[in-house]
Amino acid sequence: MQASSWTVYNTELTSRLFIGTALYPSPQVMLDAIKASQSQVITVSLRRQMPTKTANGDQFWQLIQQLGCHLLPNTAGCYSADEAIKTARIARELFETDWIKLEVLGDSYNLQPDPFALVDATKILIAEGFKVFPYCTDDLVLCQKLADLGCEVLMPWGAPIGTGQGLINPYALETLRKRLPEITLLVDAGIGKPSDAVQAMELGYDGILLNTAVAEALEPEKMASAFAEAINAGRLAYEAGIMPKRDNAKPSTPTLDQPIWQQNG
Amino acid sequence: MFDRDQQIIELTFNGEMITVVAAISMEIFLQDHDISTGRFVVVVNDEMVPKSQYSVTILNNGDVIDILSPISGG
Repeated sequence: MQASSWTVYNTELTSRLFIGTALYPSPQVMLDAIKASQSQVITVSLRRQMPTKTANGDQFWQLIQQLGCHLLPNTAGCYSADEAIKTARIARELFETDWIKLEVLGDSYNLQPDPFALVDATKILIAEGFKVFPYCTDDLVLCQKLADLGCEVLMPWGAPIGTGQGLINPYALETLRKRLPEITLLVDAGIGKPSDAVQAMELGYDGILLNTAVAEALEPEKMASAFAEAINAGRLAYEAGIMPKRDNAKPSTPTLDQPIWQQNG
Repeated sequence: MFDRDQQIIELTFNGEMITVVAAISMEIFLQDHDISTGRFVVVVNDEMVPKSQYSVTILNNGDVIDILSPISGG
């Protein structure tokens, strides 16, 4: 069974997995893994490169065209609002999309987003018509501020980028889900294994963005399938309604009309 | 190479210093560097240059030119 479809900035999607295009051992492995993931949104970036005929500078663009996915350009590597804004404007021209995964980093050790610069950049980019997907921490006040600015989607981290630590602070993520029920929430970064993704989806998250967990698996294509199934399973479970936890045991087999020799216990 | 009486200007091109003849247009500059096909955006001094402006954009001494292309990202 497939979980319900959903809408991201007026774009209807069936897959709830956004997947990155970096770190794969080869372009073909990347293509195979992304197809296996069934993802409809892939993240991309931009750098100084020569698109000359001889250097195959256009190879990456041609490859991702084959996938037919929506493109979500990022502002990876930016450490100020100004850099991120400039990068976003160029990305819009280069990839012909208003979508931008807004990354403004504040710490080079754990690649933690700078919440203040993120808010500053978000304000300007939304005014310019961008559909902002901010990569943020799980801080409630920051997320409320980003939502107030007009972000329909927020992407709090599960753990620092590339660590595979899973959901370090499930309480904070659950709080975000409860307090921002109208906002589309994706866990971005830190997902290491399919069960991490299931955990986030069971909390009511709308989707997952990941890259390293698939790209650095021994078999990326197989891991991409595993994540696709896990994310669907987690969403189905959330939609089905998970039973509340209890402190006391409760028999699942009816106790009424038990035979006489079982009634003396 | 340049003629003896041609004026030369210095540019920073994708992070490297280069010299070109003065009064060259962006269109000719890109042709000279075999940049005609593929997906890219030209940025001069932090400002994007639309394709429609390549022929009328004249490069000046000290300009910083970046050619940006799609790459993989997470």
